[in-house]
Amino acid sequence: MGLAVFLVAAAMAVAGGIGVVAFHEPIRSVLSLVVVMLALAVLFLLLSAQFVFVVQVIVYAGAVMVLFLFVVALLGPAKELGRGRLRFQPWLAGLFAAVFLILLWVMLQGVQYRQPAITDLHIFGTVQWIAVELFTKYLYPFELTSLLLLVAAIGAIYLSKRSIEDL
Amino acid sequence: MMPLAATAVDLTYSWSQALADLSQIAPIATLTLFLLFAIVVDLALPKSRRGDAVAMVAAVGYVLSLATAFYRWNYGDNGPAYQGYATGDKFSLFFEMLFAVLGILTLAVSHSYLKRRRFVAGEFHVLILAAVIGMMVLASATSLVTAFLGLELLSISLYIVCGYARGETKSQESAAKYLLVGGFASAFVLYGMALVYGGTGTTLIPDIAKTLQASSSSNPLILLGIVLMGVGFAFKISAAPFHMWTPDVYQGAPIPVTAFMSVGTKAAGFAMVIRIFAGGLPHLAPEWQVLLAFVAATSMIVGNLMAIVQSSLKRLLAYSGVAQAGYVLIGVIAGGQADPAVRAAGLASVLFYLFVYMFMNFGAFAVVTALAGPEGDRDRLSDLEGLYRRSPLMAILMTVFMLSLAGFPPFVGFFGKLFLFTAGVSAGYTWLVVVAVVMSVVSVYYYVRVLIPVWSSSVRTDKLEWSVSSTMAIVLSGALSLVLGLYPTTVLIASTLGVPISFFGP
Repeated sequence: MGLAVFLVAAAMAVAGGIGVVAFHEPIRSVLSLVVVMLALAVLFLLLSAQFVFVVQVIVYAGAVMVLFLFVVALLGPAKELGRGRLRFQPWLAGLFAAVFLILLWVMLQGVQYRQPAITDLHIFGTVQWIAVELFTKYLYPFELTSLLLLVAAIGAIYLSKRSIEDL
Repeated sequence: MMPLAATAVDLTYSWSQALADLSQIAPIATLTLFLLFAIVVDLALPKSRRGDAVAMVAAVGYVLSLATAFYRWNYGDNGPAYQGYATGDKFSLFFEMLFAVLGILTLAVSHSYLKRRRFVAGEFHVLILAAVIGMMVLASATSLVTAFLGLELLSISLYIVCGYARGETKSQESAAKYLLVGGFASAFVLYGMALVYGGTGTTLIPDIAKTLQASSSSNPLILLGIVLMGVGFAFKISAAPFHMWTPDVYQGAPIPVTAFMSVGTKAAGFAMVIRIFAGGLPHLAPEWQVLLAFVAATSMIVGNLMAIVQSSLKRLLAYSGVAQAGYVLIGVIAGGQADPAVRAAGLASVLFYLFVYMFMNFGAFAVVTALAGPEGDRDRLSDLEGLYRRSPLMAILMTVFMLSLAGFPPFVGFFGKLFLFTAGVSAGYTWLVVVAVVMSVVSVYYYVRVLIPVWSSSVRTDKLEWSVSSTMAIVLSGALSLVLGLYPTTVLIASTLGVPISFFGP
């Protein structure tokens, strides 16, 4: 059962990913991205990470994608121009991808997959568990992330101000 | 759903533990405090006084951070912190001191530059502070998670300052290019890290080493991870064949930024390479040594040959930086050998070279910074014409930097290369050292070519304005490039001490 769900969700994620790069209309790419996000959410659920599942659906599939849709809607239904390609580019790309896939396949034959560590699934993945982990074990990376976001915000303000005198 | 009482987890993180952890990362914490203070100052003061005040706050922050690191180097009991996610060992302290000094130099040079070009100063200093913090985090990271966060903190700050000249297309282009290529490289690093995590089950670097020691057979997941991380690191230290972004980004960015990142990202990138490859994956050394040897050889050849044809000083120094990354990689490769003596010599030579490279390369960029006018950077070779008339001191110092970069004795660049190449030979990579020596000879051509306009007679007699702070920074860099060459022992001892003990064990 779990395997079947995984296979379906994984196939949807890959198909969505291909859709993102393959479609020419931005709106279709955005909608494909929604498919990827939702499929990933299902994968998180399979890994018993309920909280991440909820966040993935609300924040990514919800909020972030709505922003994307807004931008696309504001810019109008523009179409990506298919110019600037070499004549043999599709064939070459296919060839390289095939070679890379074969290499990857050969290489991955000897992989030793680890067994997952046994955790208490009653608390694993819950909000409380994540909070405890964040503020004890991952305290330092967590604080670093806040600093990172602060710097990104400063940069966004500086770069997007209309004139430097506004600062 | 379980009742809440049953899900309660015991919280064992006490105040004393928190303080002990904080003191291990004291230089980073100090600088972060001053970063936040600088933001408040920038907001609170009237516009006319902001720039100077923020610069002052940043200066105090750098000096205090340097002092803290120095104190901890001598008296602190250095060890892991935050459940093993960071460390305050001598390796990280060495780099923290290096980055604090770099911050001071950058501040000194950029202060007058920003005034001359009429840029807003506040955000600039704040972003450079953030980048320095990112570099320190990277150097003190003992987990893949922290290392990645440090890398991103440093990169994001730099993407923004690269586009700091908002009216200039070149600066914008530089920022956009750096953002795209940097994001690409980060993705490589992250993918590699994820695979290593998947193969070992931990992100803590010492634990990765232990796990790999226990399982003797090599796991393809980890090998793939090494390749992907190696590609990402090569992007970050701008080593060939992943260097294409370097000249364009260096040329477009404002010169103090170029000077800062040419030294800073390189040192931080190498700190990360040493931590992860030499510290976390010593059992797979033959695999990553082959990868790095290829990258080193290409970097030296491509960097030096391409530098010959450049007419822009920024581009020339960018290609020279690519070549220098190749030289330093020789030391890293030697740092993967099983023999502890060879290993220590290799890693110590890397630390030594990165430290002295800061002064000679930053100094060269700092001289070019002073040439910049209100309308833009002047970095053509011809802009240096008659420098010996316009400013004899700067002409002499530029000569020192160039000869040091080329590796002439008695300047410090010679000793840096000497240590790197000796380590390379004793590690058995003689062919690589032969390539390095041959390419060093080639490099003399373009370094000396920079000096021709400096000492040529020219009709240009316009005086250059030298601000006190940037003159002091340049003189300090020049003096150290010479003095450290005459007495290399102090830094060499520090570099040797900076190689953590844990790297020697199996």
